[in-house]
Parts: sequence; structure tokens; C-alpha cells
Amino acid sequence: MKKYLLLALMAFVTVVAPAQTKKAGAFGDAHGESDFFINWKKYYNYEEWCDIMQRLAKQYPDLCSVESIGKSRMGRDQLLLTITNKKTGKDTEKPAAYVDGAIHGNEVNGVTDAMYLAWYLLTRYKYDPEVAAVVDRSTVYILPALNVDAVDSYVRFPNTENNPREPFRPIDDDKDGLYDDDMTEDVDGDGELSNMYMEDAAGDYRLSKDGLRFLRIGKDDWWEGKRFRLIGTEGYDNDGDGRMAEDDLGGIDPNRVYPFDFRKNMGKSYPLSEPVTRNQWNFVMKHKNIMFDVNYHNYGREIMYMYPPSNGVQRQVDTRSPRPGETVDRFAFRAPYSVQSSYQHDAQVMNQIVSDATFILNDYHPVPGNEYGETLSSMYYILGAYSLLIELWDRNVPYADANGDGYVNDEEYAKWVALDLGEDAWVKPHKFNHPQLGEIWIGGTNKKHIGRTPPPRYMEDEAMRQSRLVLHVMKQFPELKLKNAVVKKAGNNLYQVEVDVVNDRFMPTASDRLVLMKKHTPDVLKATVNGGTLVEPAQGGQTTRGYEKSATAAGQKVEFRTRGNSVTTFRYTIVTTNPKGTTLNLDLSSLTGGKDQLKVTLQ
Amino acid sequence: MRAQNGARILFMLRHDIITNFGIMKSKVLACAIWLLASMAWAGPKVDIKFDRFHGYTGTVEYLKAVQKAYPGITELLEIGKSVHGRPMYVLAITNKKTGTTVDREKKLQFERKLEVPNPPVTALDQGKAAYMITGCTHGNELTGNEVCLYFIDKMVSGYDTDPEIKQLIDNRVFYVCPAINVDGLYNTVELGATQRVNSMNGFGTQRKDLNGDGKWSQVRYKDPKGYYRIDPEDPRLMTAIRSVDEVPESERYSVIWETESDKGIDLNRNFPEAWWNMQTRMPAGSGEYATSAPETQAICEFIITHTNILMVNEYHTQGGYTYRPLGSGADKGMNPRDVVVYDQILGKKYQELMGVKDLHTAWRAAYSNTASYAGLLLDWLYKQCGIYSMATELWNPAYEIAELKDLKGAELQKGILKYVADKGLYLPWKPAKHPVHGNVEVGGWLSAPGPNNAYPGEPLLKICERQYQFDRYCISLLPQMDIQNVSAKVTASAGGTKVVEITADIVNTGALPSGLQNTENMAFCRGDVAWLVGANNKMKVISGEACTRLGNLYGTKQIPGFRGSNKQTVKWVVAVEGNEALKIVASSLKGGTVVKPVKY
Repeated sequence: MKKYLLLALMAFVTVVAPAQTKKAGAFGDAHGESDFFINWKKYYNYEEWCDIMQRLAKQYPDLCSVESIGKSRMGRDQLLLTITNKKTGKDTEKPAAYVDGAIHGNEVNGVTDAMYLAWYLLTRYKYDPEVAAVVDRSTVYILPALNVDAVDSYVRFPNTENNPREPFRPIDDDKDGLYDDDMTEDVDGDGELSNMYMEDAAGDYRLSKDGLRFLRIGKDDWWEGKRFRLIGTEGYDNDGDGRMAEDDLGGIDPNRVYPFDFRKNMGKSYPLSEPVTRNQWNFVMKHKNIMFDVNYHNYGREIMYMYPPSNGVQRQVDTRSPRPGETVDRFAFRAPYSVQSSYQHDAQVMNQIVSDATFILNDYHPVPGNEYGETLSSMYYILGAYSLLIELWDRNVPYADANGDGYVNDEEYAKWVALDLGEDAWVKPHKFNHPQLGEIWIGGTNKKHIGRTPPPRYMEDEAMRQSRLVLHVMKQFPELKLKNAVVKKAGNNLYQVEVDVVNDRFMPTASDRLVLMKKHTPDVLKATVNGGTLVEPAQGGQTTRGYEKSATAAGQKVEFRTRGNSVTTFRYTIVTTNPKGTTLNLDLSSLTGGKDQLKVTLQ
Repeated sequence: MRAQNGARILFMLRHDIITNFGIMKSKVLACAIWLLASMAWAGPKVDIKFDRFHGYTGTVEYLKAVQKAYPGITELLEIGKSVHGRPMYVLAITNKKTGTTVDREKKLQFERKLEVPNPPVTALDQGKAAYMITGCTHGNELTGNEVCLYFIDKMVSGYDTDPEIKQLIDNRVFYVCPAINVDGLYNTVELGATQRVNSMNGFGTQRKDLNGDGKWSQVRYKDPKGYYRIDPEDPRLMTAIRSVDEVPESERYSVIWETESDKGIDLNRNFPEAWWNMQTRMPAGSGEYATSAPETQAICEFIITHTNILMVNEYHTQGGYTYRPLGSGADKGMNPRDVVVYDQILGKKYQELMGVKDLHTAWRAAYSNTASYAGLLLDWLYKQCGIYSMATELWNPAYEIAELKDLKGAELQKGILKYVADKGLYLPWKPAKHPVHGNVEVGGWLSAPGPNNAYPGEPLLKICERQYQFDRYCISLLPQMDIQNVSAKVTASAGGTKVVEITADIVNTGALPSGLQNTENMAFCRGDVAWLVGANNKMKVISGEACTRLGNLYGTKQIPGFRGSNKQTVKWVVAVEGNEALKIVASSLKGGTVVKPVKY
């Protein structure tokens, strides 16, 4: 018996790990998807995600580590994944992207998409040279669920698609002296939160023919059947003030408490007042290598980008999506205003990122991000990282657009839900005896994973495209190379060497913002000469000119910032009587742009 | 070691009890009586003298002793930890048995079934109007710390002897935070490193006593880049030079403290009001972002979780006047009624206590043509929390010390020097060796008081007493909710159901309105409410709102140029089953919560 079992096991092992460990395997091959199983057609709860994160770190110990960056108000750990090839250097010594999801607890597809990125990088590393290059050279920090308490609550318990959003700090929303006293609640105990209706001859709702939802009766429409009045979301009037669900859980929007341009009327408390936000912020402040930031939200299919400050000149930009037949290049992004002169390079980089994002995500459209108290504005203005806030998914489901006008109207949407998702998508209206209201009807709404979050079967496609975007930007992290050394004889025993520092990626080694804040770690080019004397320039040479090629007199040590897509030339003057035996040794190092060395012999 | 000692003492006690049981009985009885006596609020007075600065250690010892001696009226709250991990404390002074809150009176019909439980019942002190004082936002401004301790001493020891104080402690709450910058305070007093900022940008202060005199004072040494010189008339005095050309290089000195202080940020520029310059999008305040310092964060958290605070007075040194908001801009950024309350009510009193002729000498806005501040606690409290905030710059030697009256400039400096040298607060310069600067002289100011604090003894006491008078005046202005003229009559009844018509006057009997102007809609503020409370399933409201919103009621004190009523009449008609007990709960966030039963 044992033998058979062993045999069976061996057979299993050979099936699971096929011999395809080669990088750059055939394009049509699998790429490690079966090495680690995650069901991308399911909304996991936070505990399950934590388990997956721990197992990922265990299975890929050389590429991935997991840590808790702190505890939430209810004592949950906020787990963060660090993904980089540990053998090619420490995570903090490489350029890094930072990705988080679900700062609003109900936006749980952000958790899925952030986790997908981790899974995509880790499982493909062995098979996919593109992924391997990125993971070798750079780091990505992934905090899948920022607001852990609300995320956990959203998935595990009955909720509407809009709740719960905020960390659970009790706030007196309706200013009656009681805190969080009236929240939405699953009155009938069917595991779903829906709407409550009451039979009322003067009501303006009726049941639909299929009995799945309530429809509004128009003012002049004729209807002689049963009429209903909408009471509101399922719940009780707990405090007896005649209103329902008027003081829900929490009340401080965690995406309004970030320190840049914090405003009291939006953030309500003080910067980073919520432990989950402060833990996140303490983490990113300690990681100065973060250059790119993505925050997943829902919904709206928007790419919200943090654009540098305006110089006051507005541009006429057509922000509406192009209609079919229009010959507009819808991916050629133009910002709505021009920026201050000291931020020109940041504007270039941002334009590039947003244009590419519009192409990769295709049915998403760019929108300028808000400055006040949001994560992305603080990430740009305080940390100097280029920032995107992605509003995932909305009801403009491509599959539902029957007439192909790019928009999904109510009719199309209802049809899609009915045909594609079936009866299962609805909380079927049913009678219920409410302890305070008497006999009422409950139901008629979609279940929670339909409106703001994709139905589970549609999650993976969206998550995959989001990962492609992050990967694309990470591929463009700066990589500095010393190239094109030219030696000239400039006089008797006098030689000049010109060397280029080339960055052929569109990301700079530090953003304009970081340079203006005087917080960037400069790139350093050190020179030593064997057999001759290096002449120090009259002035310290420090300049880069973007795309133009410009020569700068250089000495033993030059500090500078390298722009994206740039070539910077450094000119060294050397005095020697023995050119054959004289070498110029150059040593280039950059926090985000890597290291390079070059040895130039004068003759 | 301590545990061992404890065990030994326990053993000795047991031994004693066993061998001398007869005598012990009476001893135990006496002991019990003594214990009971000390547990009553009339505890033994905790002695405190103001002939020295208490520093962090002394302050914490005192706070703990007070909490122990007056357990019924004080609570020591740890509100956070400093960069060095030192606990920051607030002492709450109030009768822990009096008062109520809305959620104690109004029970919810259904407890939550889901995973997130209903919030715990609000702390009792939230049902009483509060006044708060803070000291030592800057570590070397020690006078503020002492003023706070003096306030505590006066209040707690007056509870049994002064009926007025008893009345206040029963109905109000006083939050005293003697030191915000606890690391700075510790380094200044305990280590002798005069330190205004906190310790977040590198610390390494170690006590140094170069000449072994057991005192922490200044060091002067020759330094061609220095900005001091020895005063030609009085060689004890170091005068600052205005320009480098004034004196030859060989005569220039640098003056430092005997112990080097930690490096950090100014906590009073780290609060989230006007921290960013949004024109340039560059920081205007201190630190990497507003509330980056743990101390700032602790204060913010305390303030937003203690919404009953109407006024805060922060104690700084020195100048002899009080700043009112704003520090970041002109008065047009304030509500006009608040400006009147500040200048014509609070300011007038302070001017009177200072005994000066014009208001501006004693009381002014921090902002002026020449000064603008970002990230002030003063501004954050006023603009974002709806609190009357004040910052008093205590101590002005030319005003407080008779011998120094009317002196100015260099004359004043020399006068001060003579005064403090006589009192032993300014040491003669003596040669010593410094590990970095070589041959130096040690002497000059002691780190406590340093040049900007009231001198211990009479001068300090005088400041404390005056400030206590001002605190008491502010406290006397706090709003107070009251329910008057409750009437109820049954207008109809059938079976067990009665229809009851109820009217009541909700009155603010305190002096000031129950909130600042236009703050009802601000987060963590609200208007006053009147609840009619009965069991949800036994009382049905027919007309009126179970929770009637009243806005912020005015107070009894006239605010020149503004009118309002301190009384509102509320009316309900309800149907009641059986003889369900009804009550009215009137609640103001900053004016207290009161309850009255309805008899029908």
C-alpha cells in the first residue's frame, strides 16, 4: 500500500513541477502559475491573505520576505511583502516601487490586485526574463491591505458595497452625543445587507416582473399593482431618534489624513491620526529608495496622477473619452496645466507614466489627483515619489456594452447582471417582521461583489493588467552606465578624457521634488588616476542637461542628479609624462541608478 | 534585590504579627484607621516648595504623590511617550463620582451583533466642561512647568477647605500637562543641557561636570568665530556682539552649555495648522511633516479625544504677556465674536492682573507685521479644534523685580547680573578643561533657571500666584448646562397608554457660550442637544424630536456687540406605555451633561 502511495506521490510531483525552469521559455508555455496556488476567482478574507503571504515568503525565501509594519486599532498586524532578489543586494539599496491596496476597507479588489503583483513576480521569476530582470535590479514593497480592520470586516460579514470604509475610531457623525450608535445591520440575518421597503399605497416603487428588484414608478406612469415605499438600508433605529443608520462605524477617512495639505474639514482629526496610516507612513519615510507609488482604490476606472504644481497657466484639454469614429489618439496624454519651471522634468516623467498607463489599462482614463491629505500627494510632495491612485473597476463593464458606445447604461447593466451573473446576483425581496417597523420587505439590491468590486470571476484580468503597469514602470527605473570614453591630447603632456553617464530609462535617479526639498541622495562619480595627476576644475562641476549633451569639467568627486533619458558628459584633465602607463579609474554609484565602473587608459 | 527586600519586610511583618499579636491588634486597627483617613479626599497635603525647579523626575514624583494622596479627585493619565521613551503625563482633576454623559443615560435598543462591538461608554469626565493648562512645550521654559504644579497644589489641597474649589472640582475638569517636551525638560534640569527642542534628530546627552562643582552652568572659550565678548565694564558678563567687525578676533568668545544638548525640532512649530506654505508648497513648520514628533502626536490625540475642553493656556517664557491667536495670519482669519471674547473679556482680566495701562502690553495676537508663525499649537487649537487657546509668555525681570524696574538694554543686563550673582544663580568664571575646546572657563548662568526663567523662591511664587488667579478667572467663565422649569401634563389616555406633553427650558448658566462662534459643524465639536429619554419600545414621539438640536447656547456674560439667548424652550408630545419613567438629558460638549426626571 505504502509503495503505491509513494509511486502516486512521485507521479504527482512530476506533474506539478514540469521541466520548464529555463528563463525565456516558449512564449506559449506556462510560467510558474502552478507553482503556488491562489484562487483568483475568490475574495479571500484578511486572515487567509495573511496565511498566503506567509506561505509565499516561505516558498520564495530568496525573493520575498514578510513583516508586520504595525498594529491596527483592533490589534491586527499590517503585513507587508518586500520582493527583491536578496542575492543581488539589500532591498534598501535598490530603486523601489511601493504598492498598497484598500486604504478604504470596502475596496477589497485593491487587496487582490496588490497580491496579484506579488504572485506574478514570484511565480514567474524562474521562467520570465523580464520579471527576473526587474526583481534582480529593483525592489517592490507591497502592503495589500492598509486598513486591515475594515477589510476583514467587509469580506467576512454582511455589508453593502460602501461599508465599512474607515478605521473604527468612534465618531459622533450626527452630533447627538452618542458615538457610532446607528450602523447598518443585517436585520433578517440572511448574510446580506440590503434595502428595506414598506408596502404603501402612496409609495413610488414596485416589484419587477422577475421579482428580483424594486423599480421606481415614474410620476406619470400607470401602475395598479402593489406599491412600496423605500425606508433605507437595513438596520434599526437604535437611539430612537426616528432615523436609521445615521451614525455608522468610524468616520475618519484615512485617505484624508495624510500630512501634505492636511485639511481639518476633510481629515477631521490630525495628520496620521489613525494607527494604520501612521504605521504605513513611518514605513515609507524610512525607505528613501521608493520612487514610484501606486494606491489601489475603487471605483471609476481612473488613473489619478499626482502632477507637479501649476505655474498658473491652464491648458484647454478635452477630458472626455473619445467616441467611436473620432480620430483622437486617446493615449496621448496632456496635462490640464503647465507646471512651474523647476518641476519640468517631473512633468515629463509623469506624462510618460500616465500615457503608458492609459495604454496598458486601456479603458481607464487619467484624472489629476487631489492634493489635500491624500496618500498620493504626500508620497509625491514629501517623499518625492511619482504617484498614481488607481480607481479600479466600475459598472462600465466592457462585456456589458451592448451598443458599443463606450458606456454602460442602466438597461445594459441590468441585462448583464441578469444574463451573466444570474439570479445569484440579487438579494431577492422577501417579507420580514422588523422589531421596530413591523412587517416590511427586505431585498432588491445586488450582492456586495458586483457594483464597486468585480464579480469574482472577472478579477484576474483586471489584476493582471494592473501588475503589467507596475512592472512597466519598474522596468524604467534608472540604470546609469559609464560609456563612450574619448581621450584627447590637449597639449604637451596634457590629456583630456570625456566620459558619458548614460541613463536610457525615462525615470531620473531622483525627482525634481526631492531635489527641491534637498532630500535626495546624489549620484556620485569618483575618479582616481594612476601614473598621472588629475587637475581639479576651477569650479565644482555639477550639471545635467536632460536630453542635450553637455560637457562638465570634473574632478576627483562629482555629485549630481541624473535625469531620465539623459546623457551627461564629464571632462577630466590629466597631466602626465607617461600616457601609456596612465589610467583613469571611474567609479559611479547611485542609490537608485545602480553602480558602474570604467577604466580608461590614456593611450 | 528589591524583590528580596520586599520579601524580607513581609517576613518581618509576619514575625511581628505572630510574636506580638496582642499589641499588633491595636496597631492594625490604628493602621486601618490611618489608611481609611488617607484614602478619604482629605489626604495628607503633598508638600511642594518653589525654591527649586522640579525637572522631569521631580514633576513625575509629585504627580504620582498627588494621585496617591487624592485618589478620589485626581487621575494620572499617560498620554504618550517622548523620543527617549519617557512617559508624558496629564493630571486630570475632577470628582470621579460626579457627572454623566449622554450614552450613560440613553441606552441603545439593540447592541451590535457583528464583529465590531459598540464603543465603550464615554469616560465620566467627558460630561463636564474642561480647562487645560500645559507647560514646557520648550524644554528650557521651566517656569511653565512650575506654574502647572502650583495650580495642582492649590486645587487639590483646597478641595476640603475651600467650598468654591470643591464646587469647581465637583462640576468641572482640569487637565494639567506640566511638560510636553519631557526630554528637553529632563536634559535642562537633570543634565544641565539647556534644550528648547525635542530630541528627535540625534541624541547623546551625557551629564558633564567639567569642574566638579556639582552644578550645571555655562562654558566660555576663545573663538575667532564667536559671537560674544567679555563685557569691558563687568568681566562676569558676556555680551553678544552685533557685527563681527565690532571687536578684534582675539577678543571673541563662544558661549555654550557645560553639557551639550540633544538635537531636535521645535515642538511648537510641528502642529498641523499653517504648516505648509501652499504658495511655494514647501514646509513652513518644523520637522518632516506636521505631527512628526511623538510628543506633538500625543498632544493632538489627547485634545481630539477630550472634546470637553473649552480653553487651553500654554505656558512659555519669557516676556510678561499673553499671546492669543492667530500666529499665522491677521485677525480676519478669526470669527469676530471670538476676537471680542479674547480681547474684551480674557485680555481685560489679564491686563488688570498685570497692572499695566494698555492692553497691548499684556495681551496681543502672536501675528504681527514683523512676526508670522507656522505650526503653532495656539493656532491649531483655535482654528481646528474650536478651543480658546492662549500662550502666556511668563516672566519679565524688568517688570517683576523691584530693583530692576524701568531699566533697559545694557543697564538691565547688568542689573540682572548683579541680582542673580548675589543670589548664587550666576557663577563666577573658573578655568577648566574641555574635551573638545581645551582650556575654557566654566561659570555664568546655571542651566536652571537659565537666562529666561523666573528665579526660584519669591519671584517664581509671585508668577505662579498671578497665573493661578488668571486660571481661576478663565475657569469661572466655563459654560454650564442646566434644565429648568420642567412641566409635564397628560393630555389623553386610553388603556395603558398616556399622551404626555412636556416642556422644559434648557439653560446655559455659565458665563461664556457653549462653543466658539460657528464651530457646531466642525469635526469633534457639536451644538447642544436635549434628549427626551424613555425606553425605545415604550415611548413614541408624536411631535418634537427625541434628540432636539439647540445649537450653541449663549452664556450669561454680555459679549460686547453680540447678542444671543442662553435659554431655549423645548417641547415634546409623546405617547407612553404604562408608567415608563421619562427624563430629559441636556448635553453640551463643552458645557457639561445634566439630567432631570420628568414627573407626570
